[in-house]
Amino acid sequence: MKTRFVPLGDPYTALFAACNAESQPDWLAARRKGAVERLRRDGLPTRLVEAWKYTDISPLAERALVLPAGTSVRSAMPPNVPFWHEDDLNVVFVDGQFAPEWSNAVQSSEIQVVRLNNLATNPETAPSDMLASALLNAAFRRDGVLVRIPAHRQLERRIHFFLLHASETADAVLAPWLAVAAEDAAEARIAVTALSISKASCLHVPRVFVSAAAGAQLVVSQSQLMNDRSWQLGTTRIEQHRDSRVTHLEAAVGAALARHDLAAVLLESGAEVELNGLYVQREHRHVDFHTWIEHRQMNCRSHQVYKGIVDDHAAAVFNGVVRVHPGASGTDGYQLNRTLLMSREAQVFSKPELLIDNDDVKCSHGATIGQISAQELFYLQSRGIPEAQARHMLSRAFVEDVLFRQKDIRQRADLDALLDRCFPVGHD
Amino acid sequence: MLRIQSLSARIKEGPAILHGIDLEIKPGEIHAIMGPNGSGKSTLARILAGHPDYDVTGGNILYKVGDDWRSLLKLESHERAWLGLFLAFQYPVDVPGVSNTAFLHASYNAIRRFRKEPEMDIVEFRDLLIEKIALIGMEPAYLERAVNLDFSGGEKKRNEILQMAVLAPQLAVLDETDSGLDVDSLRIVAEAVKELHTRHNAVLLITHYQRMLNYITPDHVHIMMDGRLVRSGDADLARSVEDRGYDWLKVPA
Repeated sequence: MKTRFVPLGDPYTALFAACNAESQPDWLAARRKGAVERLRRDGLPTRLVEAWKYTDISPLAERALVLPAGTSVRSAMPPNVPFWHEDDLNVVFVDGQFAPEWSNAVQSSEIQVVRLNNLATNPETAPSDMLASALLNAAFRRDGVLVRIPAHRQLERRIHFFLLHASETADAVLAPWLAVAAEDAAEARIAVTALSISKASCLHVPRVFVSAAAGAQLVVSQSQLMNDRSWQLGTTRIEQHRDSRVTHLEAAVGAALARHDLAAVLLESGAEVELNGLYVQREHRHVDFHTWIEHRQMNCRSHQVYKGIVDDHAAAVFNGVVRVHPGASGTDGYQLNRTLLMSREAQVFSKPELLIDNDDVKCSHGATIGQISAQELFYLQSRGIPEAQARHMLSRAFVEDVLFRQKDIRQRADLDALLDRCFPVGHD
Repeated sequence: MLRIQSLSARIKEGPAILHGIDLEIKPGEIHAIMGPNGSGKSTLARILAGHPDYDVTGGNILYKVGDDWRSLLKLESHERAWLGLFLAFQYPVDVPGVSNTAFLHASYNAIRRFRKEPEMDIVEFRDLLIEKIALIGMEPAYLERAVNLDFSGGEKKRNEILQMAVLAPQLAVLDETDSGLDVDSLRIVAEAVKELHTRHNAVLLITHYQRMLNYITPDHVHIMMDGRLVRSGDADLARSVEDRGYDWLKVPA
């Protein structure tokens, strides 16, 4: 591998053209055009590009991707989907396409759900994200939804986005876009679940955009349960205004290869963000978290805890950047990444980066890679719990610890159920 | 119920700590082992529980199971717990991510499985816990918190006694449970231990001070120095130590 980028194979040209031929608002056409040009010009990054040092997506360039066909699969959908709750405000995507018939959120008078085609302007006003994952989303995006939470509304019901992969065709490319705009002092809980129902491979490139206006409070969780043949390259951007508070928790337990680039931009003073993550990676899976927190103004606070387990031949990457701008006095930043390494062949790469251009800041970070604590193990065994069960409990607890920070009971119950799948109950 | 015979032990790959300990504990008895820091008291407690950091270099520990005496040294730590042995830790361990309830539930049911008794479901078990936690004067909210995490020193020690109350051991070894306790906590812990003691079980108190013994009167007191039990007596021996310290008990080299 000598080059920094590899050119996209010929099949991409036809795919981009097909996506572009569908009806779309002008702003999306423009964004797509820019993304396609960029992808054509550069191709996809190899591991020689620093941001992709540990995650090699260059084989995608030669992959014969297809657009998922038809909508017939939708009859097999909810409510037999995990974490489906009738009383949530559900917003369902199937193979990257919005499925209004499953989305009771459209009937809600409490929020406003606008389909991408009906949006006159792009809610993402920031300069376009030039990361390959975001470019792929823009190039392949065929549908999307904006959910607006009106000012001062305290939403009782959780908003739950399902990004379902149902296509039985191998190598389908799915590029849903979802945006949440919480207006002044709005409060809401939001879950995003990316899930394969199909056993076929796919490339999932979801784009999530969240904006929290002044005083808004959001609890957001994202879960990734793609099948072990699929790749997911997700991007999320959170923008926060004065005194807003966002708590984000992500859980990654699936996909052959998953990469998530999560940016939280604290635009105005007093904003607080908490980013937590947990991952359980086994077999040959590869997961890569890139977080980017930007302190633009004074007295903002950020807190990150990512914990995970890596077993068998799996690999996990954590790269967390905290960027403090010159004007951001009184910044309080904390970052911790801890990984439990369960096998000799498993790999972990942890890289904190603090980029600080201000003297009046309190920033700390830590990273540990280790094994189950012998002290904890003995404590459990001394209470009659056999070693195998104790190890099982402690490895689950290692990530469960992140959930203890989750105040929302339903989110926590869902994630607990997710961990139940990762740690099947057995006593010996 | 317990016979320690000429027990010698050392830290793995390290120095010898115990040099021939003999001790017999019968059902219904309360024993106290006292001694200065570094005398080997806590080492003995940990070896009884099967701590992996030590090697037994001589002697034996026999434990009565039904009509048989079995060597604890052949048993894993969890098997010793199944047979009714309990160690209250000198430094209880934080277990982030495991709630007190989940921990004790797993523990309780592991012991029941061993005894071929039906497991108790979580709903019934919660009721049991709420009943038991009153004994040590802690709020039920502690049951849902991660084991010992962010507990104060006194709360951790009380939590050990909660575990003892729930697991109802035959032989409870309390390793410096009294250290780091304020006066109120000490009283609560001591009262709870007394409450849990019956003529069928036994307690081995390991302590540096006589404080705990103001509340609990041991049947036998043993003084440990330099890895040996140098003197045994009744509760008066503990009071002598309180008055005179340990130096007068030193064995001339």
